[in-house]
Amino acid sequence: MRQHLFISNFKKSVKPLALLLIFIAIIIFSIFIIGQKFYYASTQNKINVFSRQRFEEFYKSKALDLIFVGSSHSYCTFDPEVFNSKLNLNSYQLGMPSQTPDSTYYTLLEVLNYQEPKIIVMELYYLMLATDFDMKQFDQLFQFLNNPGLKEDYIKNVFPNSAKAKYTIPTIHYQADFLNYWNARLVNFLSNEFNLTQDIKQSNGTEYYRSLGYVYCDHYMDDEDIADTKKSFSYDGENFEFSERQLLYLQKIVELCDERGVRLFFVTAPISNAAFDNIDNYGLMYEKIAGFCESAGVNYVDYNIVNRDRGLLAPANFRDRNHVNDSGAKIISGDYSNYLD
Amino acid sequence: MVFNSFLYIVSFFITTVIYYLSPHKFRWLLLLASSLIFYGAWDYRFLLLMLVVIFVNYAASKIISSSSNALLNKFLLILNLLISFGLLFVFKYFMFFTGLFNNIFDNIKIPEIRIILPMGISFYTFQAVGYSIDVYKRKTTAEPNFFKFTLFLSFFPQLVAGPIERGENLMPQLFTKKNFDMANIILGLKYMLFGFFKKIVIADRVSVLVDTVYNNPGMFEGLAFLIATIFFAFQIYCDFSGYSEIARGSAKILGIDLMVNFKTPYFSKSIKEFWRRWHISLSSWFKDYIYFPLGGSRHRRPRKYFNMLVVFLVSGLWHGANITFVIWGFIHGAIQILEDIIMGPVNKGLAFLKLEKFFVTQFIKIAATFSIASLSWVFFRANNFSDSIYIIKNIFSLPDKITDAQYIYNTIGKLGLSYFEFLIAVFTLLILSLTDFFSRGSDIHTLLSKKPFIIRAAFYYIITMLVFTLGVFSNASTFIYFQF
Repeated sequence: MRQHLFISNFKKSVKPLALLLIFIAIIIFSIFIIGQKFYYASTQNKINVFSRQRFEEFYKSKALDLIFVGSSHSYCTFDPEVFNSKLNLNSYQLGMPSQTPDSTYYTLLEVLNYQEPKIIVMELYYLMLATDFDMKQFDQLFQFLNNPGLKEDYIKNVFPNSAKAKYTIPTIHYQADFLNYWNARLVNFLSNEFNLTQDIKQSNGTEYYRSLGYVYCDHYMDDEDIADTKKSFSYDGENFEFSERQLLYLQKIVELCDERGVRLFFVTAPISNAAFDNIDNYGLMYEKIAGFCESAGVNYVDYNIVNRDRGLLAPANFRDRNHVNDSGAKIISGDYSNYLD
Repeated sequence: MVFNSFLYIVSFFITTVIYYLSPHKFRWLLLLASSLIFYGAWDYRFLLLMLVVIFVNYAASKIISSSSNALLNKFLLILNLLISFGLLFVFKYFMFFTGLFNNIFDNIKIPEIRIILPMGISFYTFQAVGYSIDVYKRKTTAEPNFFKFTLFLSFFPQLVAGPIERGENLMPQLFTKKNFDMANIILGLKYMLFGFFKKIVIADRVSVLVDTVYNNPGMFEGLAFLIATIFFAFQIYCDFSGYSEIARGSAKILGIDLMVNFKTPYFSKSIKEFWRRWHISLSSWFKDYIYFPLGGSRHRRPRKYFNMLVVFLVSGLWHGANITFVIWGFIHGAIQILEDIIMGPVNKGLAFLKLEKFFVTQFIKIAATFSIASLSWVFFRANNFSDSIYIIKNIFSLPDKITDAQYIYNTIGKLGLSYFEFLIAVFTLLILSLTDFFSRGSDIHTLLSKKPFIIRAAFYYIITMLVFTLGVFSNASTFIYFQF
């Protein structure tokens, strides 16, 4: 047996093995050196800047009664100022771009470390419910969570094993930020040196972080945006399936709120009429989501259904195919505050 | 379990350690268990189907091998082919043919049943059938041990996407004694590294652009189709040859040499040569088990051309149950026939003018072959026949402003990749093209083995860093050829 093993020709193997180990060591060293550049790029990301402002303000907030969580649909649609004035509450918006329920769960754990809200409104966007895992999402949250224990739990409990490995390699971890950062620099360079301009529509409005976690935006969908949505967007609700991971964390959110005595509401923010019309079998998707909410005993409102039935929103109330603008946010926030009342 | 997953890397490492720590007589059992777990991890039902195909071929080969009754042997071989290809037909082509039948005949309707295509079914079926035919032809003797035969057909590095191995190459290697050899480990790692570079740095990045254009052809025009088609030519090459190299590397680490499946095919000077360098294990299978039995090139030209066309139509159908694959196969067959007719006199003319070795002549031949291969890929990649016709019609309708930098810049901006990622794609394709150019006819590792240590180390360092910095890790995509 010995003759077949590594030890049988140990001397012959020492040199190549040593060279291989040195090579691996150099690679690891290089990855961590270059990884610093990748990390730097992540600090230059604009969306992260909004999230940072949102969390910085949150940590300074006094007692909050109502907190919104969810994806960008949440922070574009539910304006805390409307709820504060209508319901005489202190509310706050903690939605984050592409936030999935597992991420929401850990956001809530952080929230409940600092606040004792009476109500949590969680926005449910079908794509986030169907997304199994997205490392970019966690990266954003990790930058702002104060509690390091939560980060560790998060990695331990939520990350698939492959993602744990990727997370420890900085060039993979921050790669998307790095590519975005250098793309911005390249576009700038081509514009300055060669006068090349991107064929992207000029913004017809402004967008900025206002306060209480809300991002103000008065862009609006014009005829070209609507035509483009009708041409290029489609989805079939029949294909919608909850990700098992996200379903588990939705249940955990329900249990968490129950344990802490917080009233939980689920809500779906409206997408543009043009996008909604291009979703086949929306009813099937709605039934699955509403079915879960009903079984969990949580009140649920889907503003796509409400908008379809009551015609609350016009194209001018949308910033893009998926999000309302400030005028749309005022309408939906007003309506939803009546519902909560 | 896909090669480009963390799970595979860990599982393979553990398997290798146990493999070299085990006594030789148990090693094949470890490989068998690993292979069955590797395949069963996708879906245990796939495993059951594979075991049925293995059992049928094992039983047929064993009886044929021990019987001298020619009639019985012929009957058993035909029965074996009917069962093996019958299962392949049901799982891969049933929906295609029922759809076709129902479209042709309005009055009679066959119920259309949705059947999941088992991973790699075409690969292991062809390997099994090839083996049985070899036994029937007395080129090899049947393996008496069912479990050893199972390992031959399910050996995990090449199970789901080849190379389609022959018994005479793989079988002895699986069971002969092998000492631990660090040189095998290093070479295997080099194969795997270059395979990962092709797959996750190039194929997975350019696939974003290709999918954007090919999934919405109505939104694009000539230049976009041209870029996407060239990118797809590289995507499928890098995806498939990347898989083959990871497979070869994995096997090499275990001391087993799998056959070479690709030899820088885009540097071929004719479509005929292209097929000697592209998916070699499949083309040689078709040559040995279809083309030669049909009479090959021993007949007069019409029959020879008919045989060639049959092989390529079958090859198209092997790739997928869709009319677009059949057209793709037909194009390759037809071009080869044309080459056979035209290139003889052309080459004689070039030889007469002493231009056949001239750089420009070589370049034109390579460019023409690449262009034909790339255009035929349109049918291979397009989602349906009408999309492929639309793309072919529009691919050369380039506007007058094609030389306008702003027009090119705007077009690239709509292709699904950021400008920086587009630049990365072009840069990495350039690296690949250069390595293929310098190693044409051989492989980059053989070429580098003759270079000084510092050059070798620098090359592998750069490739490793490209994988870790520019590899697409956001989603572990599968390999294109898994669907076949």
